Amino acid sequence: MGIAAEHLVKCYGRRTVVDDLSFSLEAGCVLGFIGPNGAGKTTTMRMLCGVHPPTAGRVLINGIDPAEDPVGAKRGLGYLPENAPLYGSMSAETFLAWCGKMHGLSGTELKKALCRVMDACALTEVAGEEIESLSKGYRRRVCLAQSIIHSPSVLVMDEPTDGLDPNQKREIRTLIRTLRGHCAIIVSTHILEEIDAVCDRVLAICRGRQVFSGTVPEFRAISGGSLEDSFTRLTLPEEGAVK
Amino acid sequence: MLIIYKMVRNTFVECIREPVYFLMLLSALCINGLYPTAAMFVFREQIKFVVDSVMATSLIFSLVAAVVCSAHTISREMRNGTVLLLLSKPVTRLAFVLSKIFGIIAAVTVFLFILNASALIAVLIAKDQFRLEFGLMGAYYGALAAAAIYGGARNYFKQVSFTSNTLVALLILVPVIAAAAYLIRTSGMDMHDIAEDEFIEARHLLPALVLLFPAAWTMGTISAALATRIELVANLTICTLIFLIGLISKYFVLQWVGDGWFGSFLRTLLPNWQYFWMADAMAARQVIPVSYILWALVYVLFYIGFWTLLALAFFNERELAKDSR
Repeated sequence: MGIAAEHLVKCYGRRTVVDDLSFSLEAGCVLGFIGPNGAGKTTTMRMLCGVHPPTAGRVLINGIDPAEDPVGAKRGLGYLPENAPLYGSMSAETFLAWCGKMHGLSGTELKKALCRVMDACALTEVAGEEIESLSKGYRRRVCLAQSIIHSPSVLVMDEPTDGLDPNQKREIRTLIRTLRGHCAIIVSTHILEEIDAVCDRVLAICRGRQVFSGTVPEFRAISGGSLEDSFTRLTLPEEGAVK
Repeated sequence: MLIIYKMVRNTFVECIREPVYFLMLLSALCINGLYPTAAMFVFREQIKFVVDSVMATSLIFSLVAAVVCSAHTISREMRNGTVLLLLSKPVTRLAFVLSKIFGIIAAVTVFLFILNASALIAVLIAKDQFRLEFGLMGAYYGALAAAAIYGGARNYFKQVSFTSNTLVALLILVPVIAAAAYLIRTSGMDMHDIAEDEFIEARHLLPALVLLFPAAWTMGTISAALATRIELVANLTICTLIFLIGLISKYFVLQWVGDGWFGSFLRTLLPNWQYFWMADAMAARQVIPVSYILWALVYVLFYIGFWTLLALAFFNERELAKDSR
């Protein structure tokens, strides 16, 4: 169980946004997906989730290609998009129930799943409130809750702690550690401290091309010191790309 | 199918919660109720005047509502990224497009249903060229006020949507008043003794009102297809052009191409709104055959099918959620 990308390419017209990206990830592992702004992280994440079809190459979610069987592939996938886009007019509980039903949950199974995710994401006290009236932190948590309501085996998280206060960040990181036991998790982030806090492996891209893939200690060893220095050496042209 | 139903329902709810949808409905309802007062200046043509006016208002407002619903549900979801949430669930792009189109069609159907009920009320208010049914007019505007008060109270005490709750109240009150007023007016009435300029029977009026639905569904599908690519203003502009072309297409095709098979094909290809506009038939008190309504529905089904395929083609290679990055 896990996710794999094989020679992924995405072009918009003549512009190549993602160029020959390959990796695989098994359950029990958290992959930190990093890169500078405009490197192609979000486009890659959307291809991984079957939202955007790749121009070339393929994605396998639990061995299923979303281009061939989108419904089957996405059954085992949870996706936390950037900026928590939600239906503001629904209450948190109604929205989560709706997402659960979209994944085929119903009856007692749905109720249990609702209790589980609302408890895990600390949403119980705002369950009945309309999403548009919630704070950014709560909206982020609702979005996280919808991504795990069906207990996915692959979880793709785009900037999961963006805009959260330090306490909320800590809660989300704890949750990611809890989920890693039965889940392959990809965390796309700008925040390098996330890498130290939750990730086992790092995949770095720059201008759509893979510039590093390895463990966190290997990533740190690039500069022989901080994660930030390693990131700079990999992504700034004058420093020279190291693979 | 269950997932499509869930998404259709969600689209429908999102549409009817839009303040602009509600404001357009309320405006059209108020305007429809006022036409009978203007009919007092029309010599012995008050029924024709009211029927033409309410049908035109209902049609135009529902066409604009269709475009607004499309822009608010599809364009906005594309922009803010909620489409990503949907497409990361076990749904196909076809299911997404279908659910959006059906949800918009459902919202437009409710919109037009209420307006059609108000059209019947307006016709009943215009009793004759010198008198209005002020009691019915009072009941009608009272119902509008009662619905708004109900929605306001639910919003205040239960923190639920004002617009959707008021809409539900209107959906019940306006048709009930229309049906009750019609039954009261026609009870004991001998239809053979009624002059044509004094009253119009439901059997003449209702088929014409029913034919407005396929027109609105067609525009709903066209605007939904366009909304996968363009924003509200551009969508509204193109739909207005399509509407205008659809009004005059028959005349120009007959002039330039003639009445042969190619002319017929062109007239069918362009949305011909004249197929759905039966005000003239009603003025002549002609009964609209059921077969005509069924053929109009078949035409619209093909038309909706064509635009749904186009919507899917537009949507397949669309870059989603640019603003959410």
